Amino acid sequence: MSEETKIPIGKLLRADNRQFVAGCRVKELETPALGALCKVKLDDGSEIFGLITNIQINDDGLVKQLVSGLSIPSEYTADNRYNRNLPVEIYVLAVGFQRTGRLYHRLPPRPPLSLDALYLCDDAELVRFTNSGGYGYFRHILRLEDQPVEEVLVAHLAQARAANKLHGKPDWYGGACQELITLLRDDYPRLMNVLNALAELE
Amino acid sequence: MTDLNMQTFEQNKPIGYVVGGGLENNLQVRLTLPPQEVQEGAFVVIDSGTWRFYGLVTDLQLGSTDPRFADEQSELRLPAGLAGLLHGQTLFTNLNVMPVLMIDRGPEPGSLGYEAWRQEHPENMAPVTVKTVPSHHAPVRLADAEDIAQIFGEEDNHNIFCVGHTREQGHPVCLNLEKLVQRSSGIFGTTGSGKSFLARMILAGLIHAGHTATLIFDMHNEYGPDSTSSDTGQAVPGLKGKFGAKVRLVGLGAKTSFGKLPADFTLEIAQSDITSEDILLLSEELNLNETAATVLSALERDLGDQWFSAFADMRNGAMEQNEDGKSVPAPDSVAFWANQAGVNAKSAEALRSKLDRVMRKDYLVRSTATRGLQEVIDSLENGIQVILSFGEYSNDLDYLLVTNLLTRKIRDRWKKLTEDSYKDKGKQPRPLVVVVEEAHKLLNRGMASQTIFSTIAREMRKYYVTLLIIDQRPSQIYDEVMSQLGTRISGSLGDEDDINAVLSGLPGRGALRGMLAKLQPKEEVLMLGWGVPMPIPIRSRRYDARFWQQVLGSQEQPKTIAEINRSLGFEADDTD
Amino acid sequence: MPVNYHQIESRLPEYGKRMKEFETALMQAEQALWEQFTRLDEDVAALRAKIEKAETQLRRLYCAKPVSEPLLTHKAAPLPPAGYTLIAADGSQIVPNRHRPVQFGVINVGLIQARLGSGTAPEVSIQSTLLDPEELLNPEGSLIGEDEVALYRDFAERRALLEAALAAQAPVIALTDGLLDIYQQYSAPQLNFQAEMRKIHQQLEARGVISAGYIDKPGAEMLSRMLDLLHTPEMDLMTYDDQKRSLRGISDARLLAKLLKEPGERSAVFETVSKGAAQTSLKVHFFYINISSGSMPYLARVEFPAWLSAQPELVDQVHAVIFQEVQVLDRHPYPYLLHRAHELAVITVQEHEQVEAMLLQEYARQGLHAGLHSNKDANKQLLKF
Repeated sequence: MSEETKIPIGKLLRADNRQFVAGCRVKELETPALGALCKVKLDDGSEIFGLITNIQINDDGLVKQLVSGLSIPSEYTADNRYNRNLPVEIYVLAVGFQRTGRLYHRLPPRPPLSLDALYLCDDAELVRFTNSGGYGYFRHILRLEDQPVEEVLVAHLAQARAANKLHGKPDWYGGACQELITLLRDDYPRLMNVLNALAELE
Repeated sequence: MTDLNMQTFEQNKPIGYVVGGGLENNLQVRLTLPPQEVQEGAFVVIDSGTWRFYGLVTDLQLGSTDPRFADEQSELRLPAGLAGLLHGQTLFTNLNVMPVLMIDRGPEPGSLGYEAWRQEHPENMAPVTVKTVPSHHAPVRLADAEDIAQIFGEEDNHNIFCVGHTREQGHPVCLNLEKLVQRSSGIFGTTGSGKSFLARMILAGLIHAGHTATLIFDMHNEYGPDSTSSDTGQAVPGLKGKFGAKVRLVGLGAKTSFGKLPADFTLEIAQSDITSEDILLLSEELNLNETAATVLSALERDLGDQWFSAFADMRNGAMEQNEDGKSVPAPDSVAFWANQAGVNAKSAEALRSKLDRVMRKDYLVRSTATRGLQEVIDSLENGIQVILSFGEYSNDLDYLLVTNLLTRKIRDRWKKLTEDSYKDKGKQPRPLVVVVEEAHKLLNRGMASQTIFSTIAREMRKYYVTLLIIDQRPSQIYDEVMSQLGTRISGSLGDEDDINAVLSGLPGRGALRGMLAKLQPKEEVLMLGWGVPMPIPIRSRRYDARFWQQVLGSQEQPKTIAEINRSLGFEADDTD
Repeated sequence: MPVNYHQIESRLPEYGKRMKEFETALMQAEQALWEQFTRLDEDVAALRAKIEKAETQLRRLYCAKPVSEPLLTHKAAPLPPAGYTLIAADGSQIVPNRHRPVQFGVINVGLIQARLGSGTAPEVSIQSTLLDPEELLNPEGSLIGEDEVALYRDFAERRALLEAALAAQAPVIALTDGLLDIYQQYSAPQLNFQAEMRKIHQQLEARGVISAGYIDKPGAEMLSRMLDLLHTPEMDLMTYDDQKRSLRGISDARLLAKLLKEPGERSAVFETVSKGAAQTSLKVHFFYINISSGSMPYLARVEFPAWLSAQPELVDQVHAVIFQEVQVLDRHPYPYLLHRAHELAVITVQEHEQVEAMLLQEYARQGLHAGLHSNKDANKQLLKF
């Protein structure tokens, strides 16, 4: 595998079995996408898989001043794009874990206690995760309270759909829609929001 | 197999699965096909564990997991794929299935418990009334020909007689004729609903099977001769034409014929056949009062068998001068006899004048050229079908009198035959079915006290005599009679009272009410009741040339006696 | 724990009054100084001569000395060259703390180098060094403190600048925050700061690299002292005591705000006369510049090596580059790259703790005994909430 996209984490702001929030500094171009699959490596060799549910770019004072400045040398706008790390808070929802080579869609037995980096999963890993035993991990996403569930879901599905198609699994998406409908059958407003958002993917 | 406008199902493919319900309120089945592919009245089979359940679809209901899914047309907003997935999970159709029968199929042959089970049940099990329910998610499928044969029997052109086909797949549905005639039965439907065709088919079946005699009171000359269908204008073969000598056309009175066909036999009734009981039955019609009974018993006591003729000879109010010059009743007067017999003269005279109507009937003769009523009874006893036409004698008095006389004789005869058979085990009387058209004329509440039909309906089946009622107003029929009916076959009925009447006495058949109301006129009937293992709506068999071909085979139709005579060189004789 | 606001509040009216009086006095002083300043526009050479005379006579002297331009010079900012390299360095440090389990020092220098006119993003680097164990104790044997570590830091900044500047494409301007020179008051065990600094400046000069120090919100009163000295009769020069200045409290920036009214204007170049306590090897020149783009002047001071003054175009370069640089951050004008260098250099609390943890691990590996937090420190932690 090529060099993994790695985001060093400055500090772990809060973590429990379901979610954690990492304070990081990322270059603008490396900011992960909403709904992207990422993983953290724990000391014992296991890995926790998570979905990015929110990225909060904190105000950076400097950027604010730059933005309102009249004439900024192009070198300095480039500086901000390539050199400066934006302080971001990345919210990650645990959706599964891997231990001794086996992938599970359950919550990890232990939350991450101290991290040094967040690894963004590439397409191959995304396909592997989404095909390891059904769509059970959706239920973790649907339990989100303070993040926009529909947006995260749709963002994730869009990425997973594209990746699965590329890797020869075009039926994955249909199954995912089916599962969502089953899970959200009793929550009409939410289901219709998700479906309407998915409709735009077509 | 009729050509029905239906798609062919793959045999045994499930159409749904059980989701709830129970014995009292019917089973709920989730349909896994589009609702248009199943109709009310479909005969379905549910397998659960070792049991197989048989039931009827009595309702279809559209449902949704949330009413908003049904209200909002998401197929307009979502792409087809998503909309399809959504609807597949949120919108559904539930069937109401009325379970009726179940059968223990036992474990699979070759499986562990099979040998043991076979030991216990060496014969294959018969279907029993349903007493339990299938489990959740038990698969439900439409019955196939094999299932129907299992329940209704396989057509053998003899006793198991095909009366129609299932509506959804056209599998043949049969009646067990032997069972049918063990109880009284009824064929109902509005005018033009095809009930008389159905009756003719069943009678044809009975005649062909040969073990039952039938006496048909044919008010409108429908049964014997060929006629023309009032709807299609096509020729409709008659029973006489097809069965020849097995059928006797009997006309009441000399003038009665059967349209183009002459009567085989003219029925004249000897006056000596009339008993006081017969007269008393007609009290309401004749407007007799309480005194009549006394007079009648005096007449019978005094004059014996010929009382009726003798009474007829007497004149009302005949007077003469006696020695003293006083007016005294003449010796041939009613009053004379009354005084002499010790009954009130006025009562006797009243009775005489009221009986005049009866006495003047043409077909009531002092002595008959033939054996009259007995001739009819004998034919029946020998297995010949008798169709009695009333000709011009079409008022209530005629119906009542003649049918009462006949049925009384039948009752007496069959009772004796049955009692004899107790001693001599071999000789059971031949079952007799008395077919009554327009039954509400004779069997309404008002008339009920005046006919013996309710007696037949109630008691006579022990003596092998049952009724077959054909009528379009079952609500008018005396409920005592209705409740005795075993098998009921009904075409479409418009009136709610009629529908209730057809269903009366049958337990928990509310579900069938809707089905009855929605039958296709002329094409569909609902069979239910004792003679039918389970209620089922069917597309009735067509009574046409093809029917005859199927029943009688490709043999030549039997010739009438006249034709046989003719072929032998004898002149055709109208009356036998 | 809870401040006794009530006590403070009760004092406020009186306090305010005193402040008012104080400010009024300052205003008067300012006015007086200004008058002195503006009336002193004489022959610069004569002014220089007087000050030099005082230099020789006095043991201690700290003030400004005009170089060649008239005192009341105020010059608009020229345009910067089309292409130039601007390097900024800033450092931060971890000071050894006896209350922590291990004592250690870290110098973290952030360096950013931009080639203006190229369009490419600047290069950044961070150099983190642990102070040697020997460097942790001063000659008396006790743990060094903030000031000492600051010296190491300043030195590291300039050395980093030198390294980068030597490889860079001319013209090169190397910028640090604060005074250009290090005022050494500490003899480090292994390092002679002064000597090393001299070497650095020599090399920079040899390569024609312009090094500058940027002082934001300068509070120095060098001009005020200069004026005071210049108004002292020659006969009293020998006994001049700057402690007895009458007009005090007026910074150069405050004074010159009346002169440098237009955005980007600079004052005349002056020389820093610093004789006495703080020995320095470098001759430092400076000017004040109004970095504000609006109507309210905001003055900063820019220091550079004296050799620049010989080439007025170089002084112009510094002037132009600095003014261009500060305008990038329009709300709070400050040189952009210096800000970035500072950003790069900052050590967060987590990083501090991480380094400490790494050291503790190494201690354990070496079988060394690490101390516990001091009780004072442990209790301080509790107060953090």
